[in-house]
Amino acid sequence: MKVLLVSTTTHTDKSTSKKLLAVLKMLFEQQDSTVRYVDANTLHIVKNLSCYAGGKFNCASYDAGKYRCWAHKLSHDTPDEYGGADEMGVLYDGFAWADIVVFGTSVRWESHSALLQTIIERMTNLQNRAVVYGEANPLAKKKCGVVVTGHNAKGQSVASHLLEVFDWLGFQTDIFNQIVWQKTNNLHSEVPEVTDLPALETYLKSTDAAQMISKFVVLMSETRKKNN
Amino acid sequence: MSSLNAKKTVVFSAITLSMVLLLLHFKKSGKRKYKSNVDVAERSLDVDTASPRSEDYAHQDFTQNTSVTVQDVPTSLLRILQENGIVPPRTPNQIKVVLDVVDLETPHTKLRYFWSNKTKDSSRGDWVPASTVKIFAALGALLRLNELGLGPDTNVEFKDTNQKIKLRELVYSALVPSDNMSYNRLVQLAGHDKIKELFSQTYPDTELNKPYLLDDWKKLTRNNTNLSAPEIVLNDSIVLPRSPYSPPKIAGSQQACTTLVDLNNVLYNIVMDKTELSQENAGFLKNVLETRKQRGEEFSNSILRQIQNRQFRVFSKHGFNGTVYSQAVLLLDIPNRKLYTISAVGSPGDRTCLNDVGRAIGQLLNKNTL
Repeated sequence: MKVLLVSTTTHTDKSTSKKLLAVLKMLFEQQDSTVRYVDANTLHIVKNLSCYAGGKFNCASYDAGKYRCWAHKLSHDTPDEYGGADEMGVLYDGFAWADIVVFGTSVRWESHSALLQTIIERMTNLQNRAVVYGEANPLAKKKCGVVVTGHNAKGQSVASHLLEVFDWLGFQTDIFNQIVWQKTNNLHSEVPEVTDLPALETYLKSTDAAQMISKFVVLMSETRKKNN
Repeated sequence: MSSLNAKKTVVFSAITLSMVLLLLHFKKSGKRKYKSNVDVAERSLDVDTASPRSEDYAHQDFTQNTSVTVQDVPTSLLRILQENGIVPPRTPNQIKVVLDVVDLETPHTKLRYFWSNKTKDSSRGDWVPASTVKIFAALGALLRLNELGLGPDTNVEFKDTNQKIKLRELVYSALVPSDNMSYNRLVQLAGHDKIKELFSQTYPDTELNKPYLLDDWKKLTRNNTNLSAPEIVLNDSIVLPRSPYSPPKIAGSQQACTTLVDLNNVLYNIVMDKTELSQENAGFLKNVLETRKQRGEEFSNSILRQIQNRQFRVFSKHGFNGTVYSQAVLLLDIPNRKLYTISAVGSPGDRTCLNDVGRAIGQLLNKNTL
């Protein structure tokens, strides 16, 4: 199996979602999978240009360069106008390569990270190849899962929502393809510490953690198709 | 049950052993090694993937060890609390709790726990459910419109007052701010006969026999019951004819009543898509039940404050009539494959009268031993 782990948190240090991706990396490799890891926060990902609004054939147009994406092509033609050349190609290549894609995100105001949303919007060109151009969806045979961590708010809702979105985009998803860790369910808990990482590290030593993470790895590695 | 416990013991021992091995391995290999691979930002896909290995962590086949036998007799929650070293609160008021636990890998079975300090314990009609029954009215109305292929955005017109409102608004206001008039209208929209028919098998101890806020209801509709309904027009085109008075299931019953078991069941059926609702209608109802309420969730908040390292989706409805406080709550933990439905009632007292009970249950759930 080829596994792509994509971190989309903007937490550069002591991130809990990155920690869980690290554990997954270890476990997938133990299963003789090849794992690639991308920290999307280090990439320059240009925002989507709402090409679809300019006519549905505009998004994923054959004229839009190697990745059939105008944001990518135009930013490479005139980088200064886009804050630099787009690096979403790293992820497009990764999606093409992988059998399994796992996105990690932190919870921000009861939602996923803005960076992940930017990536999702830039994936429209992949889905558009199927729904508009009648081609095979490049994500169709790939499994997708999510890792969501946060301090105290709605991690599971975020995870379930993301899985629904990735299902629409064309991935194979299952409602159980999620790892969610949240320090507390107390909605009024403020963050007294700089990071929740020590709490997560303690949790990772528990039976609960072993069960949840192992089940995720087993489920993601199953060859049987299991759609929602 | 004993063989089940033995199985569980073996499984947990194996897991514990694997965790110990894993920790020892971490120590030997050194954490920095794998931190350097993953924690440090990578810009390339060609990452050096060398990392420590654990032999047992990933290969546990937990799916073989999760079978649960159907429980015929509810277990005493009080006993379970004591067995787990949790001192149950001494509550001056009367309380009653039904807690169902479902392993999502075997969702057809439930473990049921029961806690009551009442000497007399007839469920039906034994307590005033107040607003918790509004779940049933919302479900009934949605089911009726669902049969017509309609959903939350249906325009509903009650011809007795020419009130026009969307179904979405009725359901939301009955379940979130818990508006009584909206509840009365939902019962009429569902149709009392229809409610009896729909719920006779599934929720046998539930009846919606009385309009709430009776004085205001009489002023508005010149009617002292919601067991009859005026002509109702849907989307300006579909006419539901006026329905005559429909007597209660049990003659003489003039109240709304339900049981904690029925409440647990209705929440479970809605969240686990066990109703006849379309995906859109079911999703809408789940969203409303999951909406955080401004008040009335003191019981579930007491539970949740005790739980660390796990996150629940929370679906709930509360009720309070001045002296009786109740809440039905479903806690869903998909990553850990657990679902808990907990319905509780306390009296006399205010909305905090179940806080100590909630705290004890929260401590128990935090141990994740059920």
